[in-house]
Amino acid sequence: MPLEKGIELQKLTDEELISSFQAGDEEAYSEIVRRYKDKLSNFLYRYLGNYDDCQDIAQDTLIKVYVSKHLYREIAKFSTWIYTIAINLAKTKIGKKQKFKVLSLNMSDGEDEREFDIPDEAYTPDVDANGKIQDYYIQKALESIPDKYRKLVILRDVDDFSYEEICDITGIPMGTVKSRINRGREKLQILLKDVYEDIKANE
Amino acid sequence: MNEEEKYSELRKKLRSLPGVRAGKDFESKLFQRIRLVSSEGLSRTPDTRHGRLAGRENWLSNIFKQPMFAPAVALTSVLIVGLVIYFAFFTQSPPTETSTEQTPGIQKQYSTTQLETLKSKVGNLKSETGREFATLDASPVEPPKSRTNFGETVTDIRSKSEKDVMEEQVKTEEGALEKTAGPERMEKMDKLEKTEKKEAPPIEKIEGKLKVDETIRQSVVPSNQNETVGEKQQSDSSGDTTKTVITGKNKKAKKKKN
Repeated sequence: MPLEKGIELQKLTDEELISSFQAGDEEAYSEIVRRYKDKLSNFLYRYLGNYDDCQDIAQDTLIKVYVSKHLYREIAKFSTWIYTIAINLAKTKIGKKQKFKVLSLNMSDGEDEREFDIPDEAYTPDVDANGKIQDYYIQKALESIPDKYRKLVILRDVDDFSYEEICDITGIPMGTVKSRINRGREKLQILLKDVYEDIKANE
Repeated sequence: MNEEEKYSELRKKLRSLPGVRAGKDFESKLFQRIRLVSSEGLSRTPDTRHGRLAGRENWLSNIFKQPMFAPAVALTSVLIVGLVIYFAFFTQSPPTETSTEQTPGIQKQYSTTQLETLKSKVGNLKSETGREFATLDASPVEPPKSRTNFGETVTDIRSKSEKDVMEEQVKTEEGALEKTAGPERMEKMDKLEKTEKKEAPPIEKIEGKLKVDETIRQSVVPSNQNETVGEKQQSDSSGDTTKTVITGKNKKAKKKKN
């Protein structure tokens, strides 16, 4: 019975799931969590550059969906609504980070100077090792471009949203969205040009 | 699109980025936090890690919670109370309105034009008859001024209300004006006296004046034949007394008549 119900829930659209959850079906919310946890984690990692932060923000986003389910109305797509929440929470996180200084863990402790390396949990084991270096540089280049270009480039070129959906998520006019995406791509290309030349030279 | 073609390689690389997945304990942690939120009764904010409680606060409590607002609120309340007291007790009404309200009766009876006409008539009568009547001022508020040779001031009038005084004066003078119309009548009177016909003396017709003249003759001892001044207290039906000052320039005529 639960399996059949699970299969039935998988057939439903996002909007049908949220309306079912609004009616009181907790299973519909679980299905929503299953569908969006990886999408949100991927977007937020590319946007924030930190895995722990992206997990926290992703959980905060889904908790907000749980608490504020009554606020969703079928005027816009559900994906638009959930990504809007995620971007707003991520902006708040970035703002808080900029206020506080980031202390380096490579601190000298008296005579013994120890270096503390944080374990890299950004990539799961099933990721191709050869592409790791390239991906690392692309991620670093993404983190280098301004915030207002970065989120739009990620939404368009990483998550493959349409321009209309990006306008709905961010609330920015169409012309501004297109111009900012192009400027972001231009900056990325300049940054990655040198990186690819170095990679080719090493190969 | 040209822009899309221009950055096609970049877009391919970005799409080829490996997808970052959520951790294995993501859902367990999530539902744990949801249970915590629902147990605490938070309705909107997911910031349970920081221990903040979401809730609406009364706007009054916001004002009085902050200590810097207390002196401002106190000062404002004192100013409001002061303004209320000032406008309630210390503002005075203009004097013109009260004077009219106090003497409405007089104003009704005496308009300025009426008073002026009466004045002119009295003046004419005075010049013709040689008698002085009590002056009638246009402003009803001021009491009528009158002097006597005896040096007494008209004090009894002050005891009466101004309205009654003015009414009596008007009555007497109206009666005088009706009876003694002008110089023609005076000539007729002289003629009558000469012919020694007993007519109803003009004085008799003047009701008010007759009584006054007779009583003055009785009470006053003239020092001068030409001019005498007497006083008469005349009682009204109401019991109030009035003093009318009469200068007797016509005493000769009366003596002859007598």
